[in-house]
Amino acid sequence: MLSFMIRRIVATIPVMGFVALFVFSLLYIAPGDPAAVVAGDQASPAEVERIRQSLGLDRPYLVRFGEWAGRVAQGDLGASIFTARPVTQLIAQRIEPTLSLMVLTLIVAVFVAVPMGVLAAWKAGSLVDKAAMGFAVLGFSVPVFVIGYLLAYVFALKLEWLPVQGYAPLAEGFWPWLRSLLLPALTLGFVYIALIARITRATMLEVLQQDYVRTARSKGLAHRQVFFLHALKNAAVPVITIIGVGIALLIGGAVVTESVFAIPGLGRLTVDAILQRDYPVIQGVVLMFSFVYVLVNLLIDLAYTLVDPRISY
Amino acid sequence: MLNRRQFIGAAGAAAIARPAIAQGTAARTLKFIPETNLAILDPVVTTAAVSTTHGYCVFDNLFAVDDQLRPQPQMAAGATTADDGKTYEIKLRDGLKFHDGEPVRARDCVASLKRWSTRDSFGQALGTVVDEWQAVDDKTIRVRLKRPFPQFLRALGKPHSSAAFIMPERIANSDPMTPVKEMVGSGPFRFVANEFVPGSRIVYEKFEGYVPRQEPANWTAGGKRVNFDRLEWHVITDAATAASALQRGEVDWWERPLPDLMSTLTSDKNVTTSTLDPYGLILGMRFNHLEAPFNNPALRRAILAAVTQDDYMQTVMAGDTDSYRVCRAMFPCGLPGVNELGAGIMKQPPDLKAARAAIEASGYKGEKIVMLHAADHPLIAPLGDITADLLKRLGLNVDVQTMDWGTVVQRRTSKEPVERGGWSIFHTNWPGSSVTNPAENLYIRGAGASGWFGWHDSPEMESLTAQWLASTDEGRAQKLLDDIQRSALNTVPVVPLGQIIPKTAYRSNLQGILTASSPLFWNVRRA
Repeated sequence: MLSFMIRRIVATIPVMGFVALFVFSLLYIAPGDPAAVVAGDQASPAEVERIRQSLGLDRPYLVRFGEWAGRVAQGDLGASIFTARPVTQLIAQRIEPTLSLMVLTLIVAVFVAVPMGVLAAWKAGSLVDKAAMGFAVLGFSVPVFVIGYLLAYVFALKLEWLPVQGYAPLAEGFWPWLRSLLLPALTLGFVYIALIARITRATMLEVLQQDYVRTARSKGLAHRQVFFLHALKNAAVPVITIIGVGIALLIGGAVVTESVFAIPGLGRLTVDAILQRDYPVIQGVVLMFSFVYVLVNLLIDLAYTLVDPRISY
Repeated sequence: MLNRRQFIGAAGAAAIARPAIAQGTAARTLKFIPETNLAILDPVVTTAAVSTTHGYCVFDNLFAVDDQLRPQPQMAAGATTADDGKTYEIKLRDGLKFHDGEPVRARDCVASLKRWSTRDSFGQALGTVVDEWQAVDDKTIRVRLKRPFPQFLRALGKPHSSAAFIMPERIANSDPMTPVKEMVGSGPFRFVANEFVPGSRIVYEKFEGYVPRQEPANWTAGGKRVNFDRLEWHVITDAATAASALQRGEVDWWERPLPDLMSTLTSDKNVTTSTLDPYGLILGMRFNHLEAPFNNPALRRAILAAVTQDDYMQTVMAGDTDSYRVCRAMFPCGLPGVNELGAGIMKQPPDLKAARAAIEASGYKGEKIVMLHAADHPLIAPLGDITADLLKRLGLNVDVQTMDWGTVVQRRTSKEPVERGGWSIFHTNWPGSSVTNPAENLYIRGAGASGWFGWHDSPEMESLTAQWLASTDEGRAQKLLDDIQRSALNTVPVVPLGQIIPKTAYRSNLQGILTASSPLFWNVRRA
C-alpha cells in the first residue's frame, strides 16, 4: 500500500509538469493582453506597449516559461499582474469558501442521492422510482444558474429565510456559515445528486441480478438485509468512482455557483483572472486544481480497498 | 445574586440588545456594488472608470470640478498666475494629511503631477509645455511653462479617466507604467488593505484626519463630509443577484443596474433610481483608418450619414427612452460650448438610399469588413449587432467576429490587414466627462500612427487642438471647438452612436448622493 502511494505521488510530478507546460503554452497563444486591460480603454497603443514592457510581457516565450517554471518548482506561483499580490495568497484567501461549498455540496448530495438511488432500485418501476428518476433527469437538464436563481427567488427574496449572496466565514460562527452556503450547496448539488442517484440505482439493479444475491434471498434473508448488507456494499465501488469523477463537475459548477451567489471562492477568482488575462493567477489556479484532482483520484483508489477486500495494492 | 426571573429578564434584554448593536454597526456601513470588478487599484496608471471611483475614495486632487466642469480648488487653497500665464503658483490648504500620518507637502504634489503628466492624455498635453515642476516650500508648488497653457487648472481638475490624484512622493516616484502597490492617499477614506479580497470585497474606513473644505459638495469639488464609518464595495458580477441583494437590503447602492432590470427596481418602493452622471456615456463606432475600406473618408462619411442613433440606444438601454439622448456631435451634448454640428449630416431617420449611392460613389469594391464584436459586454455588445445589420442593409461585406472584450482590446492593437488578423471596426463607450475637450478626446484626435487605435491621421485636427490649448480668448476657443467638430465630422474618425445616461439605484433611505462623473461617497447619509 505504502509503495503504491509513493509511486502514485511520484507519478503526479510529470503530470503536473505537463499541465504546467500545457497551461502556459495555451495562455501564450490565446488572444488577449493584460497590458491592454491595465492601460484601460482610453490609453494609446504606445502606452499599452510601454506597460507591456514594464510587465515583462514582451520577452520571448522560452524565457518567460523558464522563469515561471523555475519559480513554480520552488513553490512560488508568482504574483497577480493586476494586484501584485502573490498567487498563493490569493488562492489561500479564496480556498475556504470553495472548499466549504464543495464539502457541503458533497455531504448534501451523498446523503440525498445514495438513499434516493437505493430507493429507486428497491422500488424499480414504481411511482417512487419514476419520481426519483424524473428528478434526476431534471437535475441533469436544468442549468445550474437557473436553479440558483429559482432558489434565491423563493428562499431569499420571497421568504427571506436565507441571504441572496455573499459568504460568511466559518470563523463568524457555524450558523452564519451554513446560512450563507445552503442555497449555493443545494444549487450545485442538484446535478450531483442526479448523477449519483442514477449511478446508484443502475449499479444496485445490476448487483441485484447477481447469483450471490439470489443465494442470499433463497437462504431466507430479509429483503432489507439483502439490500443494505450485501447489495449496497458491492455497488459502492462504481458509486465511489462517480463521486470522485464528480469532483471535476463540482469544480466546474463552483465557477457558476460562486458567480450567481457572489461567493469569493476559487471559481470567481478563475473567471476574473481569465477575463483580465491575469496569467500568473490562471496558471496557479489550474495547477492547483490539477493537483487536487490527482489527489482525489488517489484517495478514491485507496477508498476502494475499504469497501472491496478483493482490491489491494 | 440574581434570581431566576431577573436572570431571564437580563438575558432577554441582552438578546434584544445584540441586534441593536449589530444594526448600529450596519447603519454606519455603506455597502456599494461597483459597476465592475476593481482590477487595478492605481487610478493614474489606468483609465478604467472603477479605478477612478476608487481613486476618489483614497486620494484627493489639487483641483476638482463643479457641475459646470469649472475647476475649483480642492487640496489647493488657491492658485495665482504670473509672467503672462507662464508661471502658476499653487498654495496647499492647511491640515492636509496622508493616511500614514505624514503631512501632504508640495514635493508630494510635484512628484504626483510629474507621474500623472506622463500617463494621461491631458496631462501629456500639459507636460509638453512644462519647463519645471517645483516645490518652493512645503506648501507652495510652482509650475513654470514654456508658453501659456490656459487650460492648466482644468487639466489638474479633470474629473475622470486618470485624474491628477496626489500620492506621497515615495509612491509617486515609481514607474508611471506600473501600477503602484501601496494605497496611501489623503482622501476622505482610508483603504483597508488587510480586508481587500480582489474581485470580491474592497473595504474603506472613514479617514478621521481628513479636513473637508467649507463649501458645500458639488461634483468632485467642495467639502467632502463623510457620514459613514465604513464603506464596503461588494463586487457582484451577476446582475440578477445584485438586483436581489439591493431589494433585500443586503447592499445600499448599486452603481449601474443593467437596463433590463430597471423596471423591477423602479417598482420596488424601497429602491430609488436616479441619474448619477448627466453627461453619461458616449457610444462610438471606431474605424481602422490604415486599411481598406475605411482608409477612404468618403466611405466613412457615408456610414456616418446612415446611422440611426435611436436604434443603438434603444437596444442598449432596453427601450428606456428617458435614459438616452440623440447627440450628433463629437463631444458630449449638454456640455457648455458643445453645439450639435452633426445634425445636418446625421439625419434621423437617415436616407439609406442616399447612403447606398454615397457608398457606391466612394469606390467601395466589396472589400471585407472585419468587425470585432465584444459579446460579453452588456453595453457594447448590442452596438455590434445593430452595426452588422446596418452594414448588411447597405450592401457592405461584413464579417462579424465575436469574442470577449479582453480579446477586442488585444486584437485592436493590430495594424495588419484583415487577412492577417487585422480589423476594420470595433465599438466602445466612453464617459462623457472624460472627453469634454479636444485635448482628452482621443476619439477624434489625429495623431496617426502614434494616436489611439484606428490611427486617425489628421494634421489639421492636431493643429486645431494645439491652437485651442493655447487660446486665451473665450470667443476664439469656442470657434476653434466648432472648427474641431467640423473637421471631425468631415474626416469621421469615429461615428457617434448617441449619449446614454444610465441610472444608479439605491435604497430609498439614502440621501445626499451627488451628481457627478463617478459615484462619490461623501455627502451621502442614511435617513
